[in-house]
Amino acid sequence: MRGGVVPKASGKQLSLWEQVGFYSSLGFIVPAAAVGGFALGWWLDRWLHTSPVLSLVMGMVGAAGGVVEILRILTRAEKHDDGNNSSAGPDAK
Amino acid sequence: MWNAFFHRADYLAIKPEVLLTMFGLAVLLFDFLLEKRDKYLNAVLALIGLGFAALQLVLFWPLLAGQAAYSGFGGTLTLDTFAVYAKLIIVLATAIVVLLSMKYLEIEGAHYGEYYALLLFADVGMMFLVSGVDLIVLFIALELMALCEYVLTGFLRVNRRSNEAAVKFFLLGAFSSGLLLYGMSLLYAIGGSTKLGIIAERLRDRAPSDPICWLALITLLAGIYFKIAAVPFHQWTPDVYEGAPTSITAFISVAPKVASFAFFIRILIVGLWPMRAEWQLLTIGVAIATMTLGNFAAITQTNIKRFFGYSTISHVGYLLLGLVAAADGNREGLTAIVIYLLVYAFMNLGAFAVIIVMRRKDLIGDEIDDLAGLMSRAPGLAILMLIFLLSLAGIPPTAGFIGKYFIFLSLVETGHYYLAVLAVAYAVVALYYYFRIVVAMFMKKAPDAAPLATGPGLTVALSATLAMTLLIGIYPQPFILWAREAVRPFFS
Repeated sequence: MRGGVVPKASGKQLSLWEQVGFYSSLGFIVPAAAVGGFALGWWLDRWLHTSPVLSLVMGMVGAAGGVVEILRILTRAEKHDDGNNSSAGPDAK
Repeated sequence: MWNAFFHRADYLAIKPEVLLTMFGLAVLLFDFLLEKRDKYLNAVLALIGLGFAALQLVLFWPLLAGQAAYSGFGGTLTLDTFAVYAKLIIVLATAIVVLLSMKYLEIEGAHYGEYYALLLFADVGMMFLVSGVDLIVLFIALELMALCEYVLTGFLRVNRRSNEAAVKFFLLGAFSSGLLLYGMSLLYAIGGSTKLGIIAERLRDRAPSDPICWLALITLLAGIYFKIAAVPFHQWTPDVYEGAPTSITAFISVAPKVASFAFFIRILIVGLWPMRAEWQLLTIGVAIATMTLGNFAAITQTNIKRFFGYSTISHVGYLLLGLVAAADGNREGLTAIVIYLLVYAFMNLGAFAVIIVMRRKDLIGDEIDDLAGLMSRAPGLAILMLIFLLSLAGIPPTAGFIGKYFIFLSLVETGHYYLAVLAVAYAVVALYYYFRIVVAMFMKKAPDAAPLATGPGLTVALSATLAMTLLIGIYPQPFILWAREAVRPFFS
């Protein structure tokens, strides 16, 4: 995360504006995933007459998916950071 | 001084929190006056503050037992036996963590006053969290607790793992708080108030199939599931447990769990009771997933702190089963949770105390193999660890058995037989992985005979946790009665 640089999955660095867009979008990932999952579940509930089971379950799965995505981004940023500091330095334990 | 907005009774209700805040600030100032060799006096001051807070809480108990709850600050805070019980566990657990930390911080070379001050401020957040019945108070208390936890996780500033754990914890925690806040704002839209009691009344008036209510429930529960480390929001737990200073891992695994569960119970039983069928459905699924993942992932761990991370996740699964029973109006379900939290606090802190004893300057001591041959090196310590592990696995006559027994009892009483069978089956799995440590301690050869970290603080912490783990297991009656009194406000 140092220097605010998050690489693309391909390993290519993001430009400044891409970074602004990227970081701005982070806050919306979890709620958007939860609402998206819920909406899908609600539609399926109406179709399959299983209300409220699928709305609740899909909403929760969506929220969990959002958290996993954030964790994936963090892990990728950490790996990138490790790559930049491969000499580790005195603080590595 | 007293006026329409602030009564003497209001002050009395938050006296333990005020005391802890004062002592936290005193530690910060006192730290400047201390030489490096006298830094342990910060811990002594923190312990005095915690002692006063515990005494005040004990004095509250006879005033509230069998009586109506006290409602303060315009109905935003409540002081009932449930709040006093949870606060007392939090204060006692923090006192044990302070005792554990003295030697540990000395070894790590990070004995600063801020550490103890942050522990006390985190306690203040937790204590408001268990007393709050207003969404705004609850959110502020939750954030006060969480912010102190993030800083404490990264307290070993020169340790890269500690820093990474803190960043991960902070970012994921911030997102989960955001999710929780979405849920709270939707509840406010539904109820037209931030008070849990009024929200429950408005929810009763709405059609049960209102999708806004469901969306509020999902976002709120997802945020809380993250805080208590329930699957599928558990991913932060092993990483943070591994990277944080061991004394803070012990703290995070116990005190915030007690506070978060108390908050969870208050929200579900007071605020979302009209939606109990919906949250019970979700809780059943999450509890099964949490027990399954926690138990099976613990089997493959080699790092003891990650191991205890997954062990904590599995215990959260058991605690959630108590809520499943409580949703059917079963009093024993909530009694089971409050007993389990008390028991879990002592047995888990005891196990972490043993891990901290293993910590030496040249050895991190957090691999399971580092415990190899402990029986030949320090038999007393190995037997202590065995007792804590047996308790964590739920074997009688230890305290862990009492916690699990009440969970199983509540499930059987409410007809959730399949959940009871599953919980018993996972207890067997747990026994297997806890015994991996026992095998390492008793059957393997010690790699070296280097001296272990000892000190008066660690000795007192180990003695206190051992005494409580055995006492609750052998003579549980008074603890059961206190737990029943603690949950009475929800059923009267």
